[in-house]
Amino acid sequence: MNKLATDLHYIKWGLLALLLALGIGGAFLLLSQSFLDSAQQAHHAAETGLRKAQHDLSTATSDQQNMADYTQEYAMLLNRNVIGKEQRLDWIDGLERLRQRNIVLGFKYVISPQQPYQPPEAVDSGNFSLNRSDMTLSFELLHTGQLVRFFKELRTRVKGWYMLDGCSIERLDNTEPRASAGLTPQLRAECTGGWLTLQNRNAP
Amino acid sequence: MKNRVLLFLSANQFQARIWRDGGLDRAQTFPDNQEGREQFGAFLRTTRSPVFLLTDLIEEDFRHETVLHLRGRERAEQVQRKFEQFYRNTPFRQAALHQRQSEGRHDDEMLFSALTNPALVQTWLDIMLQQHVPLAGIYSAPGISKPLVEHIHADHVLLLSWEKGAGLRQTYFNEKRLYLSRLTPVGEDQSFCDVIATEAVRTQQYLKSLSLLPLGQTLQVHIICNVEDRRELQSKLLEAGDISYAYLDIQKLGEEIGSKDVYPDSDATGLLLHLLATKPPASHYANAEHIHYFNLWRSNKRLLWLSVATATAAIMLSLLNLWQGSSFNNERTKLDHQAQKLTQRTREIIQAFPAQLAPAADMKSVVTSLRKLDSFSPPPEEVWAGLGATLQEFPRLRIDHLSWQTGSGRAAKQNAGFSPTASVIRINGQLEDWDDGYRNSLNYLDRFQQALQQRHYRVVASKLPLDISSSGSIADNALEGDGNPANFSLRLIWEQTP
Repeated sequence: MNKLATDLHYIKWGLLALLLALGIGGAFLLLSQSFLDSAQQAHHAAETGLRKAQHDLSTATSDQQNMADYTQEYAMLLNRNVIGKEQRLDWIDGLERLRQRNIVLGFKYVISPQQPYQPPEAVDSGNFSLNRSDMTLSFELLHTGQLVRFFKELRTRVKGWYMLDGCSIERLDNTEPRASAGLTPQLRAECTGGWLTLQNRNAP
Repeated sequence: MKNRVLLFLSANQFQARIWRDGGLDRAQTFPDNQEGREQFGAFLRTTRSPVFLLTDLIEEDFRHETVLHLRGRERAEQVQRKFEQFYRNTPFRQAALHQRQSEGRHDDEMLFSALTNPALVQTWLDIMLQQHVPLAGIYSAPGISKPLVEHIHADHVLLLSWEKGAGLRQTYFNEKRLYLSRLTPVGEDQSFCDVIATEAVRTQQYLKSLSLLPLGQTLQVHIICNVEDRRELQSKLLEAGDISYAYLDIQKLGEEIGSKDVYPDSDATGLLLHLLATKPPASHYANAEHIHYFNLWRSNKRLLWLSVATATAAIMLSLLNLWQGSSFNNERTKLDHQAQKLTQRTREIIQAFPAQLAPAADMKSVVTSLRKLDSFSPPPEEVWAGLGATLQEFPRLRIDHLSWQTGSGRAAKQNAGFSPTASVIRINGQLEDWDDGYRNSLNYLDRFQQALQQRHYRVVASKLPLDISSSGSIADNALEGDGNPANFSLRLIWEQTP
């Protein structure tokens, strides 16, 4: 131990100088590195901010160009009562008018309670929540053309927005009892879908 | 190392000189008595520079040995055995490798040497160790002389030098390797020129007796002297067939090795000390215990240099970081300014939107989301148009069941593999007139599928009237038509074109 102490005496200044250099040098490095890291982070944030600003401007410019179309379509949707609370009487009235037009041999429908709607792929609806009231339809048809025409009329003549999910059409054998008198139905169809409405979350 | 303390020990004197800036200070001589030792101790206390001890003694022995080539611990043990064999009574001994033989067993040729009168050195060494002086090594005059013969193109060289306090030193080099050396005292009534003539010839004969000088080989004697002594020597020394003389001017030699000193006579002591100060050899007589404080001194210096290097590196790196950080900050300011301008422009555009039924963002959200949802539920006339036209071209096909499902009708998990804008149609039907032949009938169905594909449906046959795939089975009654209809099922995928 004494020898060690003696030996340390002869290198003490070197050791001290090295410790000082490591300590002070290390402190300088840490501080400067911290400064660099913050500057780098701030720079990165500024780059991100600039990209966002560029994107926002591009979007605003695009919106400016499309605003006329947006306004027109929005007015049409308002008129059809797609925006706001659902208007079931519009749907019922519309369906009854279609029945009177005898587009198909006969049809029945069932409207279910309204539920929040989850589309098959995410949609950015902004301040609006998507709601849907499912409706199933059963048809007796002479041919598939009648079904096509029915849904065309449903889209164009009935207020609201009906999303058709799909149909199942079956050829009938004519021994089965039929719902309608007169013409013999050749096909039976079952269709599913729903009435879509958009509700502003901020509306009272 | 800037300053060095050079000590010169000979039989007759012990002196110290400070070497600084390429030159030697005046010599301080210490008599070998109590007073001299105390004076030496006091001298050592005035300096912390490293110390180099040069010995020029008669009692120095040289042995040239051939030993088995070994390495590491085995070599160290081998050398130790040799030391015990030749130089048991002195701690001042060294072993140097001359060369490895190129033939036979490839043994090593080694030079073992020692100061055989250790008491001469120990006296002064004890004082240095007591005061923890950084002693770099204990050297001998022949051991450091090799640089003086480097430029001489001869295999057998005898270097002669005169050190005033020691005598005439004769050192023999064979192919630039030190083989032996002897010191001859020069009496007070003699000059070294007087001694050279006889001693050189004696040494030549001695070398011949040791077979170091081959028969017929000329021994080149190189004498370090000044101009005056050279004239005297040239008149006294007669060249014979096997011995020749050359003269190395001491002042020129000094200049060649970088010495700034003036040499008034042929005394080579200063020359050798300068050589020691500037080109100390690696091998010397001091052991680890002797140079312990020199190692500490050197470690301390290295630590100081390391701390300077560390501090410098840290400062440089820090400055670099600061510079880079400043660059980033400058750049950031510009980016912020640009972003501000763009944001201001965006705000102006939005504020300029005309008064609407609703805020512009809301109108856009509603319209774009409904456009997207609409794409998930295409109208049936679009989905079926191609199918209907194709069925008209294939009247033998009777559709019994048709179902289709749009993207909005599939839950998210069912959409794996399908785009949400795709509609999936399943048709079950019958192929009439199967007795037309099963091959013709299968071709008919195949053409139907191809026609659908041309109308941009993707077609997968779930069931065919006859399964001719390798994984299916066929019963022979299926091959008979009998006018019975053949059933089939197809799955079609239709996608909106953008």
